[in-house]
Amino acid sequence: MRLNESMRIARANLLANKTRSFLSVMGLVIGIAAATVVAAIANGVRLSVLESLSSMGTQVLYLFPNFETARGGERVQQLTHEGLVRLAELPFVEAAFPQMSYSGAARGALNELRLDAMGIYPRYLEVYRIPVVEGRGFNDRDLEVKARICLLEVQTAQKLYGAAGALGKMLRFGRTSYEVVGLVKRSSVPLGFGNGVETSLYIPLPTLFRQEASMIGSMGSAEIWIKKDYKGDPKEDILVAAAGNPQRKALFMIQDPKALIEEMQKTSGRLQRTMLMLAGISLLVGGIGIMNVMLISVAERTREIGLRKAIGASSRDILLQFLVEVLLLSGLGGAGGVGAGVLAVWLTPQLSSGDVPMAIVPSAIFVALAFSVVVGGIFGLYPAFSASRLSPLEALRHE
Amino acid sequence: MMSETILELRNVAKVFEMGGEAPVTALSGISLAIEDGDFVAILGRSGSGKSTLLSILGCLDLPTSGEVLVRGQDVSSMSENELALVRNREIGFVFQSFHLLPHYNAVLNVEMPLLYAGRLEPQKRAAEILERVGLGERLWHFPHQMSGGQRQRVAIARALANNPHLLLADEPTGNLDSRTGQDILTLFHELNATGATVVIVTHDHQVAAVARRVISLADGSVASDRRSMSPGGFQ
Repeated sequence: MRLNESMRIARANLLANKTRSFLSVMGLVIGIAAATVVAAIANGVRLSVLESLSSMGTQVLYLFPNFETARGGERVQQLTHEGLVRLAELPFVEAAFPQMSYSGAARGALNELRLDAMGIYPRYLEVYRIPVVEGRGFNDRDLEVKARICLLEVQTAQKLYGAAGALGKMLRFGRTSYEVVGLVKRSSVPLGFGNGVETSLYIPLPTLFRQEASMIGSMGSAEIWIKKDYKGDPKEDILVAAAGNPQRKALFMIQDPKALIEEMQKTSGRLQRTMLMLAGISLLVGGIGIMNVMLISVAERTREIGLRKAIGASSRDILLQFLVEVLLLSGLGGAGGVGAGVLAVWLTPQLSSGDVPMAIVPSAIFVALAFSVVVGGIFGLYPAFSASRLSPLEALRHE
Repeated sequence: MMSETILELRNVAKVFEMGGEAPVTALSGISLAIEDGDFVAILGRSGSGKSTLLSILGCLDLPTSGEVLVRGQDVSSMSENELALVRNREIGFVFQSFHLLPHYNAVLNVEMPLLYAGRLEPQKRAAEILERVGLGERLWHFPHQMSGGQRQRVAIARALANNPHLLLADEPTGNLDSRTGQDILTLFHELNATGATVVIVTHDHQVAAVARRVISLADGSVASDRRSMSPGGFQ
């Protein structure tokens, strides 16, 4: 019996029992949808990691005081001005920018809050993936003129200014007022303590230096740009330069954002593999579901199978018929699953706050479809085979 | 002129092993031959072995001993798939309960043996035969939209689809009222008149009387084999 006749019979049989066909393939649909979403998430993370890695053309390291060396109330050693000069003079250092964190009372239109503020250079926002959601970030001109401007975190701005909005308003911090030129969200990259995870207020560093002159003499951390062609490991030399003394280099520590992002990539890779495994398990369950429904279908259609054999169907004809049915069913289920997965990926940014990066992987779609057909074929083989083995006489007598 | 022997049984016996109990002999020493163009009725009460004989005539079952020849070819050692081929090409079986597929319309039901034979333009041929049995108006109707007699005709049309040498019918009037049953028997007559070899298996004397030859079966063997001289059968 020719293939397109088998296809016609399979289509007719599936349509005859739409509800059952639909239910039998649900497990597969969900498995494929889940796998599609997982692949999209993994791909999204991969792309965003690549993006941040590629945006860091220069190798950038962050120097922090080593908080662990401060025990029992001992004050943490800050980076001194002399230390900064030593750093800038290192042969492989292109530039060294200090960063400063500072706690103080901030007064807005509605009330006053105690905030963690940070003095930064413009690139800080980009490197730490802090999105500016309204207004603008800092630029080089702001640094030049030591503009009295600031950036506020959105929820803090809400608390300080309410519905009227913070943009364009003045914020009093320390002994100065700063104009709010932009609103930011918290960084989506969890790079550990020291990068100002709790920071709600950003001020250009030269401005903060000048305005809060008492702070000169101690600096929180520094961003160090390494020269492009330097291939060695600069960390040791940086620590010594910061401390001024090889014995005291443990007072400081270095954070390498690239390494952190790569670490994050590894973690997400592990997560992705776990999720794919779970999706694979649900695919398996879906396949078993198909097999069970096919077995029931074969049992219910015993008389039909007997009749077909009685009027001339060979075992191969019956095997082919049920196999084509199950392949058609699982192929459609896979397509449905892909559709559902794509829809889920498309809807999620609308529903959530868009924190999870996702990107559809076209090749994964083909893989998903192929997988569902293969799963259907494997799990449908046993029922199809048992159908083909029925004896026509007994099958016809079946209740 | 010798007409061809369509179906011949030589000393056929069928014994069923019943597990722990003693084996049951359903048929013993059956020898008969069906000639081309004949109209035969096999008459027997339930328990006479007629169902078993029917299965063997229809190549749905093989005898325990003896030979079954279909147009001279011995089928008793054939595999299941080979038998399926014989059933498809040589024998048209009309079941007592019709066994139409409920989710197929008349044309699709009649097409089935044609598709298994790899026949081209199955739909055209199916429509032709349905017209021949008087169902030209009901080609696209489903079984549940038809009366018992109409369903019976679809079953007959399906049996005729591949132009088999033998038309085998199991209690063709069993599920019908007497008037419809009479119509069906008339149809068989017409088909036989145009060259079909017809074998009807029944328990009803009056049904058997329409045939030209009646083989009576009792307790698993042939009790009598009579031929009527008139073309209208024993009526």
